[in-house]
Amino acid sequence: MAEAAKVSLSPAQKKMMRERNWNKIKKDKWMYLLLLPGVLYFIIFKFAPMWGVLIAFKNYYAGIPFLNTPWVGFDNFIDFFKDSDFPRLLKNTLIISGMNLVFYFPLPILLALLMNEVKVKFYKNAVQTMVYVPHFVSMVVIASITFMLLKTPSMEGYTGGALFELIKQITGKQVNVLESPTSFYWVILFQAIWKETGWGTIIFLAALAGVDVEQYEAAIVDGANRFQQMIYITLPAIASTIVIMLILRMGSVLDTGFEQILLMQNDLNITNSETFDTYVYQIGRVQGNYGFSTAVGLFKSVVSIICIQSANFIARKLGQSSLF
Amino acid sequence: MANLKRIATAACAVALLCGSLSGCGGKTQAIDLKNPEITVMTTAYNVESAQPNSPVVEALQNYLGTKLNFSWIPSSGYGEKVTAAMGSGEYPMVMLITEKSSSVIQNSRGGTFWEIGSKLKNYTNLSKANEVVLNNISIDGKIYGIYRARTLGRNGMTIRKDWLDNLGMQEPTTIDELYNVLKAFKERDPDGNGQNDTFGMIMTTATSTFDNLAIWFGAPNKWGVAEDGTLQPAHLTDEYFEAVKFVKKLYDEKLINQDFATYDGAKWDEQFLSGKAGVIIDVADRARRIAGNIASVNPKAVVDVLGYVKKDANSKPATLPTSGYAGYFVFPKKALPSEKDLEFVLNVMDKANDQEALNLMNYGIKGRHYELDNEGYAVITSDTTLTKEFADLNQFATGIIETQLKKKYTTTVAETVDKVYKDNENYVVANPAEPLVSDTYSRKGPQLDSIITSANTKFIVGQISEAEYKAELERWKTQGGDDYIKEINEAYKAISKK
Amino acid sequence: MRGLKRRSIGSIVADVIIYFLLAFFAVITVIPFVYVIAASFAPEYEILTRPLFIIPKTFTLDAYARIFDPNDYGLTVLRSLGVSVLVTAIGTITNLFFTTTMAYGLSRKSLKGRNFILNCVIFTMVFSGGMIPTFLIVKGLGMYNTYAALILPGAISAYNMIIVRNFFQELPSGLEEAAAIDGCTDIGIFLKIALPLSLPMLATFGLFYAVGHWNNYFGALLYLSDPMKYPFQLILRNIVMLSQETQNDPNALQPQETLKMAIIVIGTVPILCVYPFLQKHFAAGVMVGAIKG
Repeated sequence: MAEAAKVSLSPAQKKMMRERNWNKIKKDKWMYLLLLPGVLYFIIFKFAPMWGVLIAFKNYYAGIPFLNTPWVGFDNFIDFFKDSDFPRLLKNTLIISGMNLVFYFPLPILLALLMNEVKVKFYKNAVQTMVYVPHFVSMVVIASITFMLLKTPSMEGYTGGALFELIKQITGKQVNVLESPTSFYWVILFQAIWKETGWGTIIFLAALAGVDVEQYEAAIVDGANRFQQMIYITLPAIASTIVIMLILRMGSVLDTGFEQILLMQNDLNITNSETFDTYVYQIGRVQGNYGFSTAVGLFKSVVSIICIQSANFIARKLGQSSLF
Repeated sequence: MANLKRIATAACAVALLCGSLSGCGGKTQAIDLKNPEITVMTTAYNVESAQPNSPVVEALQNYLGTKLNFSWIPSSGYGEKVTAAMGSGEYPMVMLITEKSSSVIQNSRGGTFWEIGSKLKNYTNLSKANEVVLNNISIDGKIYGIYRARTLGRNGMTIRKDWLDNLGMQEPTTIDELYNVLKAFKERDPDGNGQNDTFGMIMTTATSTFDNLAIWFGAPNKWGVAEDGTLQPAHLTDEYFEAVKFVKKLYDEKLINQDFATYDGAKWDEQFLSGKAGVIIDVADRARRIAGNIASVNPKAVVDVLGYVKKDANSKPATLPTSGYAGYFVFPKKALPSEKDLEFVLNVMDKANDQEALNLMNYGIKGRHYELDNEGYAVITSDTTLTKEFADLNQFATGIIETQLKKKYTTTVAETVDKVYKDNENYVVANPAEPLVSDTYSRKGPQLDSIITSANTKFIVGQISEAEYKAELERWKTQGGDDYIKEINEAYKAISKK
Repeated sequence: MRGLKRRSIGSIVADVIIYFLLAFFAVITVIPFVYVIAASFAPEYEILTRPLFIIPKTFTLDAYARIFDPNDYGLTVLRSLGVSVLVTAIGTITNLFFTTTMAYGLSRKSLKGRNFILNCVIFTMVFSGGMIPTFLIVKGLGMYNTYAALILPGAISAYNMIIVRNFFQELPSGLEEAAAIDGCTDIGIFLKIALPLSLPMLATFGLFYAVGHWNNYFGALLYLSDPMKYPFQLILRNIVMLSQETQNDPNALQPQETLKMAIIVIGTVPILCVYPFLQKHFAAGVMVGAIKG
């Protein structure tokens, strides 16, 4: 379309273009039919409720008719940015989400690659089944087990949690993980790793199902060792899935969730344990201040869409597979 | 990126269309007085709540003269359900409100619910509602509902009586005596096993222990009236800080668990049950639960419960009250459009406070679910199948009038707990700001509260000095505390004038 | 098994390390669930007084007896499990239908309007109208208090759909062209070639969606008003979250810890059983084999 606009075309040419376009659409008519249910779904359930984002510009409370609530322009946003906690919330959100991206994101890929190396079927299936179990255990249980493992002794002479004692044995120091603001980030990260790594492998294992086994055999004939096979055959086979997942992941750079963080939060680590999501939870869900919480959500959305589009742009420039 | 713009425009168009459509709706619908039916939305705690065809529900319907259509909502998600109901206008006729959130306040002000304060006097039972509790549920001095009464004096101290006996000590009555007991529990081997393996009191991340201590030290309950007649937040008073220093002393002398700042509230009973510590300050009914569980761990343990200790021998007792209610029922105008509808429903709510109705909701049907013994106590005879027939019906009971029929106590602790409730009510320190609302607090409440609680904890464990603690109080003021105080005082004046 | 004969020492060492690492990780990750299972068989006081344990000192079936006793929790538990299975099954089929049709439609790079639709989809991933507007739509369509409300509003996860589309794009294009020459329409190619070739993908996203449905309590809480229709997760959550609530209300019951654990076990085991059935689709080369066969 862009080129068509640049060159001025004669009416005949334009007509031809139009016909060609129409023919293309006609040729793809069955594809459009396939698209139809999905498109309808998005219009009805996703776009129709979209007026809800306007709540961000209102002083809205559930139950007061939408049209009767006063418009406040950008006041909710200004309040949010001016809040003296804003820099701290931003910092915590970025650190928690960033650590998740850097340390957690590669792990399911690594684990999937390792599992792919296991040729004993029984062993592989057993490991697979075990590692994905924690995904189903509720965060409340994970938190309470974390407390049991890391808990410091209630009194001198008492024993602490199993992990606490282990760290004490190894380092000779009493490390109070639950109280320290810095280690809060790590606790959150390790919980995520513990809970979701195994589950995260599934998608990569599915991608690996597309690898042609003969490629390995050919590589062995060429004298490639196991590591080289992994780098040159296995990894490229799942590369496009990895890139797509990474681009989509960029859309949630400001997401930390609130349940896990609130469960691990306490008076001593509070400086590092408040994020946008916990803030929105308390103000939106607990206090019912929807105008304000929607504004925070909208801010997050704008950042997300910029991140996704930029990541997609970079991926395309690097010649990688991209979203579009 | 050009695409994005187009999408945004398309989205806005669709959005505006739908927005204008959703503004309308709501049909006029009154109760058919010949064949009345009332819809009720309330919390459910049981796996299976009473079914519409249960004989207890039928008996209750007969007594109240109306069909009852219950919407049982799992308690853990009740708040969201209320939000959805308010957001969509899909109201029941009688709706339980569990939290006075900003939404509820705005809706009350906006006229979503009937204001019933002036009507209560027309009803035999409802007119006997407790003034303190009515004040607590009021918004801008107006009453929008009927509360579900709960004891005001629920807090108390659970203590190992056999340890006191072993040490030849009395139950503490003052702060100093409490301190001595805790010290003795730590140092004088109360369990007599020859080992130094016990301590005084278990504290957790829950703030209730401290909140009770602060009241016992004479601090106001969240807000107090200062000498100049204005309201002042509790944490700015000297008494409050004394309580903080007291806990710090307990912490420094290792009379409380050193990990309280991270100690999970769900595990509160653990060290008490395993005989490591002998005092818990929280709700008094915790004693009943502990007494039930400790028997299987240590049959010799004796658990007792106290309501309070005094600041010193000469001072008056003071106890921390609850709000006195567990939610309140509101009557949405959308579901009850006319005054007649409201009157009918209020009449039903009034009748539901008659002893016969209360007995149905609390105990089921006489002869089927319970019998009376010769002292007039209820003896539960139903098994689990029959109990299901009135499960959760007590969530509809408002209990403005107390149920006269009682169960006989099975343990002494259970009896003491009820005595503590009653006794505590005489000394409750009311929160004058309970019915007042502040816009600042609705937006910054959680952060403001967390400044104070985290400063308390940090000071107690020695992470910050007294000067730094005071600086945190100043930070509280500048972060919105000053506005909060101002707004509360304005609201207080507005109500006092009336 | 040609590979086995040519194994070098390095390869064997690598294997040992890999096997050990995997075993280590598997054991660590499974501990929380083992604790939950152990606790569900332990008496109340043991959970309250013992820290993390793997085997209960005293073994009891009390919690399970209560849960399955038809006079007690039994009927409700079984009914709600039935609801959950039904909603999960129908919901997953619906999801797969909506997701694969749309993903396949979007997989053709030359399709006009494709990027616009994709952008729209991504837009909905980050912007959403929120709970109340969606609730109004569901209510307006007459789906309130029906199971359709648990299934249709989440018929497509944009995230999943985009990844599925990526899978479709990676399919060898030669096959489709061959089929097109044979006179197949696009729908025919989709049904006869693209879907059968994508079994691992269908298994993966079928599992994702199924787990989503199984664990979904919020939709049920919001959109159902009749307790007889409640799925199991709503009951599970009500029991597991209750101890926090009961702090506020002395009239509410205190559920036993052991009961909580048993309910969690019952809520988890059925969905765990799905995975082994799908596992055979996740082996390398499955898809290539399908193409050649």
